[in-house]
Amino acid sequence: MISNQSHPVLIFFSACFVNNIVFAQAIGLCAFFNVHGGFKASFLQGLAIMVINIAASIVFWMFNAYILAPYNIAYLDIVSFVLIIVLLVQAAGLFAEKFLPLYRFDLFFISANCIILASGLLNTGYGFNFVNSMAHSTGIAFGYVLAIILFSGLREKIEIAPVPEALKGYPVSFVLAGLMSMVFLGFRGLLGL
Amino acid sequence: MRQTSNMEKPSEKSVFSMFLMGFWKRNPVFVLMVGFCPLVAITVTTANSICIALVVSFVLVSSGITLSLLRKVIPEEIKMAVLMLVASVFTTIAALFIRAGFPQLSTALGIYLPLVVMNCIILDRISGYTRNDSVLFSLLDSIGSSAGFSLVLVFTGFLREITGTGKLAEIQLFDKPVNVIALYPGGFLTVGVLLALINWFVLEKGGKEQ
Repeated sequence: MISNQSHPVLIFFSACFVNNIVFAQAIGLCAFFNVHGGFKASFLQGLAIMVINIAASIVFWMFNAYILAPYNIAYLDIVSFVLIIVLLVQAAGLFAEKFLPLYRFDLFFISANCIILASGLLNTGYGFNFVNSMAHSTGIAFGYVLAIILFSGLREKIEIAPVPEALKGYPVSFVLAGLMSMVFLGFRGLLGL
Repeated sequence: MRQTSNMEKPSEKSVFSMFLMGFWKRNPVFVLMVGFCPLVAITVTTANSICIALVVSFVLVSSGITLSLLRKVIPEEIKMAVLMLVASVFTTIAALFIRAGFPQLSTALGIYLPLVVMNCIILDRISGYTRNDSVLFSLLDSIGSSAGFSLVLVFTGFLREITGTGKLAEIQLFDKPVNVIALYPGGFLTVGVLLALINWFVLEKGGKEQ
């Protein structure tokens, strides 16, 4: 198990592979399964979530260290983290509209994303210091991007494969995700994590 | 085969049809394709599934009523923030209640209990209630949606508990269970098979009608 005493590299590795957010913890599945389009759409969505996740984690850590913990109001973590996520996603949406008008991000699935809230809550749950929580959130974000890139490749193969009529679309995606999840089970216990 | 044609509001607004709309025709899992996180992660045992289903229903119904009462005073620009704020307040209430009353259940649900607020079902449904015109509609629709979601959750939990651990409510039914069903891969596989069965059922029915 990882703790605050673990090395940041180990925490990153654990969050990215051993406890991969999608395949080993089943968090963020709505955005994961509802991305339509090929490799490029998946990669862009992963990148958007990665940027917002890392930015949000910095804000979460500062908010927790300077407001929630000193005033002893840790029970307000869900409310405050959710508000921070909404504000950040709105700001990112304005930014994307101004500088990247060609890409249409589905802001609903980014702001309604469990991954960002989960990384904030897990960081405060483990009691990480700043470096460790950055390593953890970056690991979670890289794990998500890795998962969605691997899965977009599989999805492109499935589109030209003769799948039975009833399994087309979401069901075969879930079965594939189950097989990928078994692959990620192989990381379990590596380096004592 | 997704029934996207059933997404519009019911023309005849009888009470039962509104309930049935959320329950079956617009079932959160099978039609809207949202709310997978607790469905894959939590449904290891039936008790956990019932608990998370109750939490989701509580948050959905209470924030649905609150938001449809507040729909005239919420400005359009900050709608998303208000939606998430209301949902997170009710999630905090539920999380604190479970942490105080049922500590071991709180440990079993872990991170997935506060993540109920980010559940796409809740955000998808309640963002509609701020547009709609009656409190009754949001009440019935949220009860229907949460009943539909709870049914799927509890059924999946039941299946996975029997096949994954060979037990039902601490009673050993058979030896040598399929252990992988109780882990995360089993969650994905079970949900995939359930979705395929529903698809197959819909396809068969459609074929007979033609």
